[in-house]
Amino acid sequence: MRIGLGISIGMHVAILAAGIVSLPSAKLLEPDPIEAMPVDLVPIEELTDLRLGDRKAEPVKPPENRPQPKQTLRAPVEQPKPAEKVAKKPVEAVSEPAPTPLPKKVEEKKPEAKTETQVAAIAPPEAEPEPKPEPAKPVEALAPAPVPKVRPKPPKRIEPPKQVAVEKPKKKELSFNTDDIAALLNKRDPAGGGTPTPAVEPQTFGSIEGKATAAMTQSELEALKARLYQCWNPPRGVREARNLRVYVSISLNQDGSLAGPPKIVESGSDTLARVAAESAVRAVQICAPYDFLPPEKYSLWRSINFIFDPSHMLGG
Amino acid sequence: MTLNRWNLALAARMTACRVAVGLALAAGLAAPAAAQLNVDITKGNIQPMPIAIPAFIGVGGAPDELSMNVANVITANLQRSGLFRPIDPAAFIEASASPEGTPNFANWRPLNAQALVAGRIIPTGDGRISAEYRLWDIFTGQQLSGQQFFATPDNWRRVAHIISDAIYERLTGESGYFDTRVAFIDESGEKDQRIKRLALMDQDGANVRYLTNGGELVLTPRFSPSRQEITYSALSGDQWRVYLLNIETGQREVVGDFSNMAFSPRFSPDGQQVVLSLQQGSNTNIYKLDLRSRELTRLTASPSIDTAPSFSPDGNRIVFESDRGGSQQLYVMGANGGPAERISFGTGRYGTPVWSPRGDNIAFTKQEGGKFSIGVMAPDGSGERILTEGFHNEGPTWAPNGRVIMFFRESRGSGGGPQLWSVDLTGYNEQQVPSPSFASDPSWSPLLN
Repeated sequence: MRIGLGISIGMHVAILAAGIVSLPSAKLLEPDPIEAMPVDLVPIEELTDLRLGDRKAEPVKPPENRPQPKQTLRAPVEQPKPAEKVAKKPVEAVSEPAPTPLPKKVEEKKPEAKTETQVAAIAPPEAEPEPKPEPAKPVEALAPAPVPKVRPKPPKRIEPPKQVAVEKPKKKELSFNTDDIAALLNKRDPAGGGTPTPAVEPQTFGSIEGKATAAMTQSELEALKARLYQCWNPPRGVREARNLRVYVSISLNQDGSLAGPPKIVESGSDTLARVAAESAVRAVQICAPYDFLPPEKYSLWRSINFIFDPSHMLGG
Repeated sequence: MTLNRWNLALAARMTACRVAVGLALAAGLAAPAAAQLNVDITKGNIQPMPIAIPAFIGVGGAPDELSMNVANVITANLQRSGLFRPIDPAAFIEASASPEGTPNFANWRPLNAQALVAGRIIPTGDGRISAEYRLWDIFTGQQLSGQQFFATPDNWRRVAHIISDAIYERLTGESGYFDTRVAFIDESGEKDQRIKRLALMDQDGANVRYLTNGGELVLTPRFSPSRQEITYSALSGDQWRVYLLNIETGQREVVGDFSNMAFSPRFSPDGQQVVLSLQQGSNTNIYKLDLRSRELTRLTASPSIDTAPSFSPDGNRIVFESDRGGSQQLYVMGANGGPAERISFGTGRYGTPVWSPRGDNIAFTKQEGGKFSIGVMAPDGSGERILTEGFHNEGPTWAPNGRVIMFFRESRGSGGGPQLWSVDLTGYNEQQVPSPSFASDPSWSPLLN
């Protein structure tokens, strides 16, 4: 009996020991190092809300805005201005602490007025060279070309903020705290202890109640796109061209009418690119007025960049 | 040791975290920083572009017969292209628009036309006419183009075609094809006794001229891609001849005299050589004929029927049809002969390949299941598309801009015969080309100017 018990214990111990020694080494739990893919659930407001503003522009006149947060009509009109200013001249905007919105407005109007007068001045074609007696010799008449004039100004508008956005996280990494991985993965700025509240989260120029209305919904955007699809009549040569894109920006009045002639931000210089650019400008003009856009979100669609990209269309 | 390893692992993980955090921040921040509404427009309306072409101004500041005719020809050209929709003049608020000064766009915008053509045709006093036009973008109010021409009054159609080309080019971004002509075989008489004459007309069917008198059997006229010359083969008596005909001077010369059947000649892109097929017994081979030295070079040497050669626009390759593989298919070889590569692999028989002037397509006739279709494929044989099919379609020829194909379609029955038709690359814009009687074997000229 005892011997049997001893054998039994011995055998069990042996099996257990064998199991402990052999099994773990056979099946070491080593998960593959999966690259974590950062996925953000970004509400559409974060992408379209003008009032989020540019983080870099944060020192610009917070006191001025405070007294008039209730004037929702005015506030949206003026608020985006500093952001534009920064975008255009990143260096000066920082050194100049509080550019008042009014002079800016005048500045903006001026070039528009100029182009209008230019068009008007060029349009009357009386100045055409009179008949030359060469047979069947085409005489090219005036070819008003406002395209190059406008082009240089805005194209860099989008890029400077991007660089800022990339640089900023780098600075943060200096205070890298391995104890607080959760905070690292949280891309929001620490909100001064406690749970971060949406109210303090973005450094915004805008009012908090303004934010509620400050997002173009997907269906509103789709309505805008659908309208443009109807208005745009891409010429056949353009339809078949690959990698031909036209960037056109427009600014709108509150009633949805165009505040000025559309600006071609970027397009090529050959004939086809010119034809493409003209068709795009024609499209945004045919589509005007944009009175179907929600008036309470005027600040969002006050200025729109259209990217006309025929490369997905069927050729032929 | 263990500690070190742990530290290493942690460091690695930290780096990964940093990258992830950096990426997330960059992605999250970049978009809102752009603080403007960005909208991608990736679709468009592919309806024909509405365009207003009011009657041109004539003598005395009002439209006269000549100026109205010019506007009508331009309207017809643009309409036939399928890319424009000329607005019915009945809807016009102003009957005409002068090229002097800026038009009153308020009168044109309600028509929803996108472009306006204002023109004037007046005599210059020295027996010629002055034709001028301006093309306006109605919505931006800008002038897109404006030109003035001088011509003799009987050339008014050419003036209209040149203006049509200018409008087409300015609005579509590719070159036009209206100022061109078409050589074809005019067929008259009973079905079993057709008189075949070589004829020439404008691409819209006007100004028909006969170049031969019908005394000999003429076949396969082909335009030179570089000048106003036609090559064709003809059988007089029992001799096959290949001719070269200069349209402007009317000069005709025999470039080859063959006792065997010689047919389907076609120019090289520089117009200096002609490729053609020569029948020898049951075989037909492809030869190249130098027009200066009259030297004949054999390009294929297979025990089969190789025919219908056509140069690529760069002159480096030749596409032809051959039954060397058992059925009639398309092959591509170098311009000096050598090994040929088969490019057509579909069911049915492929024939009469013609390389597009743009080089991006080869048009062909396909025979399958009792039907003759006209189709296109890429030079490597990919992307085959049938543009039109029916009882009998044959003999495609390209417009100089590589957009439109003309061919002939034979109708059934004892009273039936061949007629010229055109179809564009979409396959939807199919139109009959007017001709005085039955017509076959069209060949499209290059642009005249």
